[in-house]
Amino acid sequence: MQNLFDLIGRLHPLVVHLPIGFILLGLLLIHYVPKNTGAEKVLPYVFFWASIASVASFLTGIIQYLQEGLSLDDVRLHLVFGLLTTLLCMLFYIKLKGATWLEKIAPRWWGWALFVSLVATGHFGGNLTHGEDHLTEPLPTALKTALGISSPPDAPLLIDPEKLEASMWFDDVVQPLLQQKCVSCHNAEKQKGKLALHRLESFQKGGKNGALIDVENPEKSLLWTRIHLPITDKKHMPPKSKTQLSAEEIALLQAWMGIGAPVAKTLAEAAVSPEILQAFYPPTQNHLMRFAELPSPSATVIQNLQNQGLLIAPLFKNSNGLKISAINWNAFTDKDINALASLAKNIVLLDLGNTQITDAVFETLQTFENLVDLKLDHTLVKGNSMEVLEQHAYLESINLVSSAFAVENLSKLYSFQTLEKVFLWDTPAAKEIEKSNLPQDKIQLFDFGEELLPKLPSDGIVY
Amino acid sequence: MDSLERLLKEYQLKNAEDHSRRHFLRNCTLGLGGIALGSLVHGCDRGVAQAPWYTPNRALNPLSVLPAPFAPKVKSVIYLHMVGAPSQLEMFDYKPELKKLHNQLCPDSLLEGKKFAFIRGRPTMLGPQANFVRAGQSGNWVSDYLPHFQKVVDEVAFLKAVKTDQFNHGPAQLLMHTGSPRFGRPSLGSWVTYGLGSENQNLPGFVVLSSGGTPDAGKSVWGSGFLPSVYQGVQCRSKGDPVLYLKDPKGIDRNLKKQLITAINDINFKTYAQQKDPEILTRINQYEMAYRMQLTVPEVMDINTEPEHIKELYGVAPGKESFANNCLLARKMVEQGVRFVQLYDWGWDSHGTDHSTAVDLGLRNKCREIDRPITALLMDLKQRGLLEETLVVWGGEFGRTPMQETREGKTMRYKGRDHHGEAFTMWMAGGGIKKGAVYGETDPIGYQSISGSVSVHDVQATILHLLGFDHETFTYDFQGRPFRLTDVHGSVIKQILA
Repeated sequence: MQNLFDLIGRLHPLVVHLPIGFILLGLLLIHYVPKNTGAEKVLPYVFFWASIASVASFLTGIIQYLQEGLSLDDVRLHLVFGLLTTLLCMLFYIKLKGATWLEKIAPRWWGWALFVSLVATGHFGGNLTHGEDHLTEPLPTALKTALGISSPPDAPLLIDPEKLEASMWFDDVVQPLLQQKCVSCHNAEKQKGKLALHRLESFQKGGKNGALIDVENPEKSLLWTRIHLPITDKKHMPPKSKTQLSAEEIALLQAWMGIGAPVAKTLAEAAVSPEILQAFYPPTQNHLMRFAELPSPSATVIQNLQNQGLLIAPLFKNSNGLKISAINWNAFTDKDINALASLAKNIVLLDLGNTQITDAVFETLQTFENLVDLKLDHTLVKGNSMEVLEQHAYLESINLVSSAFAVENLSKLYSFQTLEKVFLWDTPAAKEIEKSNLPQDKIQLFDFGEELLPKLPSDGIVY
Repeated sequence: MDSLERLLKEYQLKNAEDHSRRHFLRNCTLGLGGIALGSLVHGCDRGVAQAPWYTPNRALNPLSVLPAPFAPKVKSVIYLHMVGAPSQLEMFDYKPELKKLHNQLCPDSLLEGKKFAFIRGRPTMLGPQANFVRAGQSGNWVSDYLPHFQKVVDEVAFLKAVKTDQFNHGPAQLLMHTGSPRFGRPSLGSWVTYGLGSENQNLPGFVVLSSGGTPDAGKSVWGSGFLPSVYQGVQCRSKGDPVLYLKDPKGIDRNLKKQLITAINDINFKTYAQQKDPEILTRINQYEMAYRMQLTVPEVMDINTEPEHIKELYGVAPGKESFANNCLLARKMVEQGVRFVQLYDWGWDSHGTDHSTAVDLGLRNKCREIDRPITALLMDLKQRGLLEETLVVWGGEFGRTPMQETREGKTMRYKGRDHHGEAFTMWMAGGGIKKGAVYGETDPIGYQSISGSVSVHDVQATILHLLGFDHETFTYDFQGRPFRLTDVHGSVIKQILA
């Protein structure tokens, strides 16, 4: 008997096409009746069978819903419109048979109401079988974003380290993971092993092998076992041919089960070791990435400078930010820097080490507003007038190793906005750093001095 | 006149070689197909496609700079390889439990199903021979074999459970440097030089320095495999002139030599235009590089020009072959824009067969030899601002057993350990590395990993990552398919990245 019901339920997608046919035929007849053919006499006959077929569809639908354990939330709209269509069909048939209390509504309006109700039923039914993004999925991405349709929810899990107090274990961590790696086979429509993982209730319900989580013995939980079985095992999940859980994801699920698989607790309330969460923090963007969007530099200018011996290359592929180095042009002087003026906004890393430049370069450097890393090592630069760089928004590092950097310019470094590292080894100023009262912590002024590694008494021993 | 005729004849014959009946037929049949194929398989040379305004011509200069696919953290690498496999149990992996088990017989459970290179029969456990201290602010363990290194331990991120499946030196070294235990693949340095080019046009992009001898796997560990040979490592001599024949011969001045080289290269380039063999470009490049190196190499390779306190810092031994000299040279080269500097130091195979390979004697001396130079290298790079943009990698080809070696089942006179690849220590320092990090843990006797096991391919993927590559998409087409350094393996070890 159970099997029979199962079969009847599964016939629902077939049976539904009968009322669709009848109703559409009826609607055509209402709107366009060939004259003098007596076709209008067929109308009650059509809607009689439409009603019968609607009821049959409705009943098979109910049976399928009960048999396959679908959740009411998923089928609600389909069910409501299906019922409405069935009722409208039957009422219209009664009206055609001459029920006076329905006389006031013209057949045209019946027709439109039936049409809307039928389309809605079909649409929500289609969403159940094919997924909600069935129609929007093939649209171009640009159009989708314009329409506000988000990308499919199988993006990799990200945990925001700032929002541990607000992120819920199930909704924000476990569910997105399941969504990405499990739901394609365990969802409302496709329930392999009678298991659906698309929402909390069905997750808690488990599948034909029982509940997924054993709170008392987390290691014996079904979920724990299945993800840990060797990949060659038939019961290993996800199956061999599907995208596997990463080691970090397994560690996360394991840690979650280890603390009792909390559902409505936040990550801060029910904490696991931070290393486990760390793997899912958004990747720290390399600081140079933000220069990807600069205006593109002139190819001819670059070609000319390269021919003169300057090393010019994009920071990385497809970056308009530039790395420029005079490594092959030791005769580079203050005048030569003027040639770089038209690339001013693109220069991010600039290496003028080992060249003939002096403090006069700062005037031009001032216009290189996107500078991050500046190398002026092994030059005659004293640092006079280097304060023109202090408003640069991105300047992080200045290398002045073995330059003529003078002690009186040391304090200027402290008014730089974003500077993090200054290398002053082997400069006149270096020897004064320790004597001065300048705070050492704000900027790292690396200088180990000359006494780096004292001789140890054991140094000379040969064993 | 005779000789002129002979030359003419030779020229005609040489020319005719390219115009035989076979050439004609081949050109007829393959020519058209080739044109069609060319449009089908465009973009085989994946290194070149770049921003439209940046067009380095690798046909003219195979070492021209190419930007990495992603923003890089470092631009150079110094790779320190201890040939023979250093004992992690005497240097970084502190195992007090093993000390308690010293001299006890090794239980079956540790031997079942295991293969050793030399151990036969039932060995005894060998406790750590060094004393360990927690060093630096990170409090990471370092043994007293490395007293200076303790000072820079905070700069370093340790991988305590690196794993290799090779337990003989040659294959393990090949795996470590080329991603495959068999010959034929390009080395890490070659991949990097191929992918990024070389910044200093007067120096090679990939330099190899060795002390004590050539690695067991031979020069293939810095070979270019199927990449054009211009990307292979250039080995500099560690004693005497670093590069031979740099001085102009008597009676030939630099200008004359330049003319000579230009003439030869012109001819070679014509042949290249005809045959498109990248090896011809390599040849051209080598002539030019040799000519330019005449000016720079004597300066860069001369450690005597360094100030006295720097020489003392590294503990160099001018005129001799030493790891300290090579460390100082490595810094000088990275300072000059050399992309990849590979150092090999021989003598770490501590089997305990004699005094020099005993873990309590010879190994200690080996540690002395590298302790000061490596510490100096890290500090010197740091004070010059170079550690930010350089990656320093230290390691061997595998690790050593917690058991005393019993070669041929016999008890040995000295304390020694056999090859062991299941868990050994490596470290990295420099740009993009999380300072003071430790990833991976071994069991209480240091035999196997209990967490954070990483493979050789993971290490390689991480190095490429720091240079701005995705190891999965950085490929070279050869014999009809794309090849990667990491083959089909490897994932970036995020845990040691800053």
